[in-house]
Amino acid sequence: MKLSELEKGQRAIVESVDLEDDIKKRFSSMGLSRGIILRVCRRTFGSDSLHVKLDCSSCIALSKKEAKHIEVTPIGGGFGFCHRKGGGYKKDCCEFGC
Amino acid sequence: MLKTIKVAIVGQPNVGKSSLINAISNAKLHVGNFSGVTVEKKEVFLKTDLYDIDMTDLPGIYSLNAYTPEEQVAKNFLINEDFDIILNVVDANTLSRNLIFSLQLMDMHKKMILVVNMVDEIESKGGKIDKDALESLLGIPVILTSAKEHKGVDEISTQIIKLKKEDKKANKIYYDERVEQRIEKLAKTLQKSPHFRDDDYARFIAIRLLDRDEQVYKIIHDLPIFIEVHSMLEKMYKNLELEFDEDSTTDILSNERAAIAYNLQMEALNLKDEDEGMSEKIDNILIHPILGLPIFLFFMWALFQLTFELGNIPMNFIGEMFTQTQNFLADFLPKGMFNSLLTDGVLPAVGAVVMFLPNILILFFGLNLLEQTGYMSRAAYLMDGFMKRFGLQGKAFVPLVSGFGCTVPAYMAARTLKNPKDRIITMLVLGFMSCGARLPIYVLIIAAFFANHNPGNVLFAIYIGGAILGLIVAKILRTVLFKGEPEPFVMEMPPYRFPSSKALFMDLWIKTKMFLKKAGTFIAFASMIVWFLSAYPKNDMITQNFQTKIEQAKSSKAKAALKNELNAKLLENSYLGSVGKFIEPVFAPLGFDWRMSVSVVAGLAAKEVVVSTMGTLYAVGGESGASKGLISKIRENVDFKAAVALLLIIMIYSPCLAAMSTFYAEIPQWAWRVFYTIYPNVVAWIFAYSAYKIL
Ligand SMILES: Nc1nc2c(ncn2[C@@H]2O[C@H](COP(=O)(O)OP(=O)(O)O)[C@@H](O)[C@H]2O)c(=O)[nH]1
Repeated sequence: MKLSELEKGQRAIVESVDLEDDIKKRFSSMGLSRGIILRVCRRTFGSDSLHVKLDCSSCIALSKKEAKHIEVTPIGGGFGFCHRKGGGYKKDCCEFGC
Repeated sequence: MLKTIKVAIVGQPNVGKSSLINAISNAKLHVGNFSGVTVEKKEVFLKTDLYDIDMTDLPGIYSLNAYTPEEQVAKNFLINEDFDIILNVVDANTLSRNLIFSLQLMDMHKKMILVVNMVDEIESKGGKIDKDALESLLGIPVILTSAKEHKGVDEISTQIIKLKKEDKKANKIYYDERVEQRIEKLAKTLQKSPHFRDDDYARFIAIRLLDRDEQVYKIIHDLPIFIEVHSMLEKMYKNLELEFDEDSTTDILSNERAAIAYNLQMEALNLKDEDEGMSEKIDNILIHPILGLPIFLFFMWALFQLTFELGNIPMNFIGEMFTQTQNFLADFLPKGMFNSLLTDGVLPAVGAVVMFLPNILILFFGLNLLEQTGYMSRAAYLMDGFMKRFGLQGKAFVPLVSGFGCTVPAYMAARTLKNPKDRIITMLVLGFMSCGARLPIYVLIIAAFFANHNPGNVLFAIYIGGAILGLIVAKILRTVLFKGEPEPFVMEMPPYRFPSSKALFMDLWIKTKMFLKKAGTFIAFASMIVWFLSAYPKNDMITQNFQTKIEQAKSSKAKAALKNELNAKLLENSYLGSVGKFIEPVFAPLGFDWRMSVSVVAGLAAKEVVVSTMGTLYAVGGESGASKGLISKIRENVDFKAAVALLLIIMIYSPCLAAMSTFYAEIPQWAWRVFYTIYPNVVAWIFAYSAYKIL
């Protein structure tokens, strides 16, 4: 599933970022890289841009065009712990808002 | 001579670096530019008993894989400059993301201090940062600070001195065994070149090369060992990517760092509950998909209303003050050239400008608040889709809005755009965002001609009109001259934070000082020239002619009328009159008289000069120069159509000299410089002419 297809409020784990090297590095230094849990907080009118919360800590805005190239796997709702690729478990704090 | 310790302050944007610097006690702040570029360079000097500490604040940078030109400046400094200690500031709220960058910095294997800022926010959430854990894991000193509550800030200088004396560098970051092997091998090869004798430096370069850092690759490119390194690298890229099943070695290193950073955070950050999301609640309203845009427009509208209405209250008072001083000095000082220079030339001009200080301060305050609270990046997010339709992206929105304040820093802010085409389009249309210095002219004209309408609304319409024109021109430029897509839009949205009132007022105070200084020096000087040009050459013939007529005149009314006629005649025959006559043909189709023409041209030096020149030119022959006098003078002398034409010219034509030279410094291509210098004036004239004809 692509990041652009996520519903508002849905959480997902990032599987891959298939963008050009430059912008991929940019995303990763802003905290969006493989293995991270994210949540779509909202979209703008017409869904041109997305407001996404990363790893329960920082928020970024990105446009749909790039979001189409980010592969994600949605993770179930509910409280508890969720697995994070690359090691470790994280308390699922994203449950409260963004 | 004390020994100097050179410190580079590095950190991601919004971690509170500037607040921290402002909070350091006894520090001297010096603001300049990085050599050759117009990126602001803040240096902090601190004297202690044993050392001088010289700290350079680098622009916020997300990682060593510099993306924007501004980040490039920070990176260049880190790679090329000589310094003793890296002071890495991180935000406790986004610790793991920040630490990824810290790990890149640690690859340099220099002396380093980690400053974890905003601990107050973690503590208020009931969390805790384990300083000792971080220290032992990273092997570098860690300081927990809160710039807001002034905690831990003064520990920074103590720690710098301590670290300078010690001979202890940061821990090495060890990557996966397979990566380490390659780093070692590569570093060995690099050391064959005299450039990379130093073990640490060779290792750092090797890591950067494996990280596919193009800039570092270019350094290698010109060296004799290039061929050997190049073929070795190619093989390593291929093998590593196979072994790790990744697209690029960059990903391998990023994943490694992300995992280390994540585990560091697990060890060091103890956070019971995630915050309930105050920012989230505010965002639900402020960047609502449908309400978001109207709310933003409302904020802007409210700002311009306040700018006009609130700013107008002290205006009369300031104007009155200047008129009083003027009248007093005119009587007090001996009659003569100096008296006239001061009371007819400088004071009305400076007064006409200073009157608008309150308006300008309100505007700046509002824009500052939008920026500092974190709302501006939300507005950029809201506008991204809209801006894309005009060939720009959301991030360009930030420099455009700051253009309402002052064009110069706005040009510099365009450095946060990576794509050169995006940058140049943004900069070419930035002038259409009316800056604060144009405000006095608008306020003057509005007060003279639109007083019956809601002045705040007219002002808002002018600013919005400029913005819309800018977007249309951007679209045209994108389709005609700069074909291609705008760069991808990605931007951080920091949580809402209310800036400290101290910081806000500090900023206003600096603005006020700068404005008064400009009014007292540059504007005063310009008005002296204008006055001189308008008062000379003395024409005794005309004067004598009129003197006799005035004496013969019967009523005092006729006398006054003749006096005015005399002054007008004298002005027309002055140097300035000749200049005005010379340029009049250009402006005549717009209904301008020569005084307006001269004022507009003088405005190319600085927009304040338009008003000050009008102050001088229309004041001559009047009883009181500055303030309300000027408004009624303008109303008497200028017709409505010409006033609208003037508004349009001011809205569109070239910005001031300072802005133009900033543009030249930023854009090296002569073709664009020439284009930039000419086209706004042509557009301005066409608009003004059309308005004059149609109305
Ligand atoms: N709560 C809190 N807020 C801070 C702290 N330091 C800075 N801020 C706020 O964070 C925002 C960004 O700070 P700034 O110094 O502009 O960040 P810079 O981009 O790194 O220079 C401002 O609104 C500051 O008031 C801190 O220690 N605690």
